[in-house]
Amino acid sequence: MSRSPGEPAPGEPESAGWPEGTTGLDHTADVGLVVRAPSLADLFRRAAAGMMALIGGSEERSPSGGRRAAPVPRASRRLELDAPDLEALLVAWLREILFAVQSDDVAYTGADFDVLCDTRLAARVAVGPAPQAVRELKGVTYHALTVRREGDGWLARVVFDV
Amino acid sequence: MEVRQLDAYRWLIPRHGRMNVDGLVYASEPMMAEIRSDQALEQVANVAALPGIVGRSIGMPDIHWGYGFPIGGVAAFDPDLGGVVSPGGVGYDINCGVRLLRSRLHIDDVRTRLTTLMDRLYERVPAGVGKGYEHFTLSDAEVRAVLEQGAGWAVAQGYGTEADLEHTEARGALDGAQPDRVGKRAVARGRDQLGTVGSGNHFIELGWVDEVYDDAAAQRLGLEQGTVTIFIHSGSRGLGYQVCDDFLQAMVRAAAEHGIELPDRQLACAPLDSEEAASYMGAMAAAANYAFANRQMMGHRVRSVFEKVFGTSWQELGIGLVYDVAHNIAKWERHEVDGRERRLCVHRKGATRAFPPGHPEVTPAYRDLGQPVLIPGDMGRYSYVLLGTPGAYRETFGSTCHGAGRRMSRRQAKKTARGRDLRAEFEAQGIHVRASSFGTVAEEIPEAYKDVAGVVDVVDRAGIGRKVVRMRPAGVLKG
Repeated sequence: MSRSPGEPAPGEPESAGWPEGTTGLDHTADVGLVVRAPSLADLFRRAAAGMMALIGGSEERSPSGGRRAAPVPRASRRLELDAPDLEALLVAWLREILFAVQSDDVAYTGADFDVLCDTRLAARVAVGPAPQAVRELKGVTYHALTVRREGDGWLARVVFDV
Repeated sequence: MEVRQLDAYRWLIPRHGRMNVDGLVYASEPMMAEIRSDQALEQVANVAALPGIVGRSIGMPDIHWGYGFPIGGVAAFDPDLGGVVSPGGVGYDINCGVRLLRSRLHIDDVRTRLTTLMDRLYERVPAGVGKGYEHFTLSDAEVRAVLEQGAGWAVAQGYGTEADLEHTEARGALDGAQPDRVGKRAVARGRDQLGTVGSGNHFIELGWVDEVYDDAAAQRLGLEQGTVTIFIHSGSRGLGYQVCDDFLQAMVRAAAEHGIELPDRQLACAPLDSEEAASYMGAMAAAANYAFANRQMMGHRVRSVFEKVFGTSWQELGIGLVYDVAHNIAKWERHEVDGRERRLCVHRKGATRAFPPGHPEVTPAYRDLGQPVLIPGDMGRYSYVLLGTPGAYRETFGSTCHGAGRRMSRRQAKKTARGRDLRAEFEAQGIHVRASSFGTVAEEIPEAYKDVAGVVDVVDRAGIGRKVVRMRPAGVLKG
């Protein structure tokens, strides 16, 4: 029987320790995230925080779960992105942050959005000290990618190549 | 989805829906039960829906759920039928591949020095997430020279010999590399990572030949019973990931512009005769050359470690290259389809080329034998060397499996490993593990993989590979 992307393995509890609104997505070869948020801006913020948890392995180091205090921002940078649709915009957002983490040795710590619509975003991204990376994400994939409204909020699923 | 068993090792996914060709998966019956538990077969069908695919969309016995293409997938596209190239069909780690060195040392000569060997290897070859060199960085111009010349660049710098190139697929440099198609971000990421292992399933493994299936072939390859071997599994590092990432975005746009409907956006592609495809093929070949140079540098550093530990030259120790082969690549090759020879773009995503004896693209050193196929297994069991066969050339565009294939997600593997002393477990089996993170080792425990012996038996019995030797691990360096 096939499992749909985003569903935890049958009988397994969701991992504790994920940033608020995020949890892991089981995938045979790779890793992924399921993200829920009350607003689109929060969805993008939480997806970035979830990706940082995957890189830092922090989802496994916080057995009590719950929300962690955000690191103090050290700097910020301006980011403007265009994409053909909302799903591609989320991928573009995450790949820009992933590139910064891998190339400039910084961690994403937060974002303020000036513009966030289906095809465009403009944000000021706060970055802090680099995490001790325990996992190398090779890329943010389009596979099984979902961004959609769910009830009063938003849901996203993203798979990363490891 | 209908899956029809053709014989003991072949399963057909009949063409349906948007599929342009049938799917064909190689597996034993118990393996197929496991393969059905994730989405790999759906991915075989999705690939079969791409334009210009010919023959069949193929899955090897190590097939598992990937992103877009399945891992363990082979697909060939004809430019005359609107065929495409897809960066997702190569993967982020362009020319992820395997290099196998052998020595004149017997495992009994090495056991007492294993701890020292593994310690020195760990010091000498960077491994781990993003790990590069602090004191060995290249200028942008040097990176571009690597992209052009591949393993030949490393040899020219003193990291190896001409004989190494003669024992590397395509002499370690693909034709058609266009360094100017590789973006600035990718070049920047390549500056300090040449000669590094990386993380995830990449490794350097010191082992020995414990079973020989074909004495004559094993002797030709220098792989006799007890011979000490070194497996290196890595690819194009951050440079390759960035090339894939950059082109995926461009291909999403290209697919829409060329009116290609994608069953999965990760299969983003462009017609082979388009500018986008030409650009990607040039950049991909350049990144593949970086990977060949990466493994060449690591192989030579391994030799220098043996020199120091044994106090004699690597030539005296007989540390030569058996072969180096890609298993994430797209290549222009000639194959017969429907009675006509055609020039095709063959995608191998977690699959190894396995050309038969006599094929002009098999290195002259092995042309009468067939192409060596290097199949690493998991950290605790064994690995294999096979040879390419006429059967593979007929049925699978000259391709076979590439490894054991995962059966557990990383989360399941970590859960299985929780509370265990993995280092002690490996030591008890005589395997010395050095790792920058035991979290990675937990994700890579043997149980997370299929038994590679079963995978290799399927390709051997189906005639798409021929077993030569089996090796066992004695030391593993992980990221």
